[in-house]
Amino acid sequence: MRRHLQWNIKQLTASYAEGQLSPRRLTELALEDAKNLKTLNAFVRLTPEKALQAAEDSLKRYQNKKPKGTLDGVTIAIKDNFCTEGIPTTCASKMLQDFVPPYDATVCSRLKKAGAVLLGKTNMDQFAMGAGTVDSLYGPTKNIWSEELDGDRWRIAGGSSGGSASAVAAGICYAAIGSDTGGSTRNPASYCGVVGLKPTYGLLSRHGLIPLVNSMDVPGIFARSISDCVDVLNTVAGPDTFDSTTIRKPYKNLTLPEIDQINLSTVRIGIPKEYHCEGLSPEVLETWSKVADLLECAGASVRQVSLPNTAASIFVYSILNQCEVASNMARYDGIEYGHRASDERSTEQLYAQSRAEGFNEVVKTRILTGNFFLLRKNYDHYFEKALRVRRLIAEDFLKVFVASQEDDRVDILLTPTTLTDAPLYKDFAGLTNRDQCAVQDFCTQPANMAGIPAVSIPIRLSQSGLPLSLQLMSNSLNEQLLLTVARWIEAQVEFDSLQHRLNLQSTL
Amino acid sequence: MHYSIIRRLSTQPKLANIPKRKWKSVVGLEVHAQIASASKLFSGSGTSFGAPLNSSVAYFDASIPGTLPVVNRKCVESGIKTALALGCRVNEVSMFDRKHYFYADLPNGYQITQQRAALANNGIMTFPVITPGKKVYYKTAKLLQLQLEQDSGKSLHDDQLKRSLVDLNRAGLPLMELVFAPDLETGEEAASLVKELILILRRLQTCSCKMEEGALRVDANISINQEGDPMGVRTEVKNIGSVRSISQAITYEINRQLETVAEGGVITNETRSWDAENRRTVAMRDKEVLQDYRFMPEPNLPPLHVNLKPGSKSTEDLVSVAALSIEIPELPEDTRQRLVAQYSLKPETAIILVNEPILLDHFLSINRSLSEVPTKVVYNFLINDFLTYCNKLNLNVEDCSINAEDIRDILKNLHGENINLQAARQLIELLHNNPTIKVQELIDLHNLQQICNLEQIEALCQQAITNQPKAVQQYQKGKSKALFAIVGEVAKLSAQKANMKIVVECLEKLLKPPKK
Amino acid sequence: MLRLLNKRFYCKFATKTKVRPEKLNFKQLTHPTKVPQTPVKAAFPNTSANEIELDPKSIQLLERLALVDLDSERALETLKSSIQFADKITHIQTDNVRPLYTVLEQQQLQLRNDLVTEGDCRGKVLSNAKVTDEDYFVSPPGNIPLEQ
Repeated sequence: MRRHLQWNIKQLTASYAEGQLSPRRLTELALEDAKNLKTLNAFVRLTPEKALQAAEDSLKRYQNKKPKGTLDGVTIAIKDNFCTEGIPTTCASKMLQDFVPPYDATVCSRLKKAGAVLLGKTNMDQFAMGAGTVDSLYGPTKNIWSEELDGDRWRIAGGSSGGSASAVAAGICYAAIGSDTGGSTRNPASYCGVVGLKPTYGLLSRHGLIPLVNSMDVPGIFARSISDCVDVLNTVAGPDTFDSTTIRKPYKNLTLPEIDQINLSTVRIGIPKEYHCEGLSPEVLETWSKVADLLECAGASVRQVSLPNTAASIFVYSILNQCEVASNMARYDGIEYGHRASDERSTEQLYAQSRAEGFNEVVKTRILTGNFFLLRKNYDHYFEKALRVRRLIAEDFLKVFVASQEDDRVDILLTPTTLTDAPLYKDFAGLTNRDQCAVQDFCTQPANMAGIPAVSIPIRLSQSGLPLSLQLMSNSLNEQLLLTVARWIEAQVEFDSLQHRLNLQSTL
Repeated sequence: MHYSIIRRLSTQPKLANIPKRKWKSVVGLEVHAQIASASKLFSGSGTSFGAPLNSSVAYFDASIPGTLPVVNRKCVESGIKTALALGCRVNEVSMFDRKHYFYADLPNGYQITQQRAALANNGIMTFPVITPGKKVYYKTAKLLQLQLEQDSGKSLHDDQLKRSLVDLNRAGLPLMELVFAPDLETGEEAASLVKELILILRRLQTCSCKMEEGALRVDANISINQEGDPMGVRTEVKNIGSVRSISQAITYEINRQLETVAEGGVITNETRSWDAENRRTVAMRDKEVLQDYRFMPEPNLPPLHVNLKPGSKSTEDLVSVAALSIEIPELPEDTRQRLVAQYSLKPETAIILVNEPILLDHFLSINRSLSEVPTKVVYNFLINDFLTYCNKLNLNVEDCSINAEDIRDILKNLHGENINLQAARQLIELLHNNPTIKVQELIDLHNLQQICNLEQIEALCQQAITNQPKAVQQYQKGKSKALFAIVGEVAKLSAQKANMKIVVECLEKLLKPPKK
Repeated sequence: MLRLLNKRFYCKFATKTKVRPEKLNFKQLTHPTKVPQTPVKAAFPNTSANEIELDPKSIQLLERLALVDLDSERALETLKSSIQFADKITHIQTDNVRPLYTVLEQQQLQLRNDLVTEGDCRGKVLSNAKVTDEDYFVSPPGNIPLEQ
């Protein structure tokens, strides 16, 4: 195995500084790996020229002893719904197949400014509507942990940010950016055995992120360790004058304590009982129970809590999602950008045809349903109702985090991320898109409802040799504690995200 | 509708069958005022009129995916100031909504507006209604809502190639939509409301009100009903391009509806366009299409809070309504009342002066610097002579090159009896055509001085008496009015320069009737 | 080396990867568990029998408003079932609960200074349009109802 892949970002940049490894060499190897692992279909587009140029610039800076910071020369991949100037950004849809943004998303420009090397754009479900990365113009993304990658017994990578998760899991890059609306970062992170962070809503800028549900979307971060995740977070977080939904408070960099400095005796862990829902696999349940136990052994107080409106979340999500989709997709008419059909008889005909040709079935159905809910006669009954239940869900969290009685409070919630390990593609594809999302997003959606931060960390492998992960959630802007606890758990379980490569020890 | 074309050939619609007093007309206005700001409502692109095609367009205005709105503080302040000046209640929290429909000049497929919770509500406007030939009266109209919203782009229709060309410079320009209650009854009332609104907005400097640039757009909702009945079906009239058109369009539409009903027809809820050239309203669509805008809260803009606390100051993100209310200048009605009180003007005079801000400025500055001239003389000259001249030439007062100093000089000379009123009127024309030459120079150049010399006048009078024997005879018989013919003759002989007062005195002396 | 790499990936793994000895025994717990060991049932009404009013006129209206066509019976069924899915929350008690439009409802909305900072980028603005004509966007004539 390539030795440097065992390093975390801090170790990598240290070796750059010492001249042991050059960013250029690393990038070349990464591009090589990407090509060799093409079967995963993690990337929709590699940008080798730009990447090598950035790597070259980084090398020069290290040679001059003037590196930009923690991410200088670090390889990153970006989900293809983030605008990258001059590089096609397609959302894996025919509608935007030829769209070349004239600007960079804030997340991308901050990464570039920090000297990161952007390898390319990663695969996703079309317009982020899915939980498998199977509904893409460019074909599905495969999970590197699959027992076999050929034939029909391969496993899904999860979605909708499957490409980004896959790229990090495969060791092609050190970190990747995804997006998370109902679990789209944590879900593939769970299946691919990497860390997936959904920060607090408003902590990261959405300027340049082509939206799915504006009131819930958050850029997500993939990495192979909590420490790497924090390095990326520190680079991209903070208010943005281009995005009115960013939190105005200036961002202070997180620094996580060393493992042996972490004291869990003051930490209160909550186990929300509703998260044990129908379909939770015995192995995930076992994992959940064990980690709760580990925390208790270390001195944390662990108790069961109740978030009574949890199960309503998928229904609320489906309504709000479809309504926002109906609205957000209204701009795709082929006039200013995007696929343009040939029927020029009237705007109505042109728009209708462009949209029929440019959108897949999933997108079209959501647009129709969303418009139905937004009709004046239906608005109160569906949309407003969903928003009221949304408040109930958010208040459930608030009640446990900020309960009036000190004794009733918890700091961190521990739950499963996905209900099972990664499903086989052929089983997953048999379900409707709605059922796919409904089942897999059960534990991840509520965090988006409330805007609170959540992180998925891989714990161990299942009997089938596939990653099993757990999720931690905390109150808004509490990433410091959330990631500290995550880091502690990570150290206890010692999960190796690149274990799948062990077989290739001799060849690499 | 052929019969209606025949009817249109006569300019006055016939209403033979309906006694007009049984029917009421109801008019409600919707005004879109473009806020005068340097940049757009949600993006940082410019707002200048006439910019090159698609150059005042930010990525957000073109709905490029991934772009987000950021609110312009100046627009919020302008909205609040306007709301306060119109007596509204400014809401502490207001929200933005998306209004969905498809059109080529609406790149997002929705307009960002405020429907559920607007910036301000419940205002009121009380304004004078000036109808030629009728006495001035005051009318009140309630302002239901003042909301901030985006303008759409412009599409030019190319009928030849069957396509539309779209320019997005206007897309995203900041608008205030003012929704008035259907409290008006006539076209004149509507025009008067808009005139008053323009005066207010210009004083606040929140809108240029240049209707020819589209900075102020007026749509009218019109219906008729018989006294005692509920409001009738209304039509919406759009495309009214000038203040004058407001009265014409609404009057036309009211009459059209009355006629339609008289002929047994029904009014349909439709949108009609004002055809200024042919002076009529035309249906815009032949089928009224069912529309549902599917309003939805704009998720990228959290609620807008403003500070209602008295005595507060504005901060970067929190605009203080109290601080803005101090900045509101004197409003037109207050000025009128002040003029009436301070200068003992008739209300009609005050209305005319306030209606023409430049005229008002002239009045105030001349009054101040020329205390010897009575106020009455000043405003009479300004209104009866200066304003009349401008109107005759179809000239806007602000476009006339004559300034206050010139008028002051004319009045000074007039008051000092150096020139007479005729000469003063001539000077207006001369000044307008020779903007660089001063009054004194013109008087000398064109020999406009009054003739006051007694000998000269006597000679002229004698000449006039000789020329008008018949009038002399009649006057001496006792018809005092016949004197004017002789006076007129003197004026003619003196090329309008004789001092009329002295002339009259002289003639009276010369023509003393022999017997009583 | 690269070819070997490819080969490895395309081979079926006859033997499982050498599993690292688990330091942790996931079957052994020290404390009584706080994790519920049986699923917590969530009671939601069965709405699959709900009558969904979707007459042809409503469908036409929806298609026109969305400018997306319901091109098959299956699409109509999906729409109906989505509506039934949404009906499942109707019974939840929400009197006196205000809608949560945004989690940032307490924050002051950011206000921008009135300065010209954008625009003047016509080339870029037009760059993604498939059809333009002398700096205009081009669109077919509008307000013509769709063919039924």
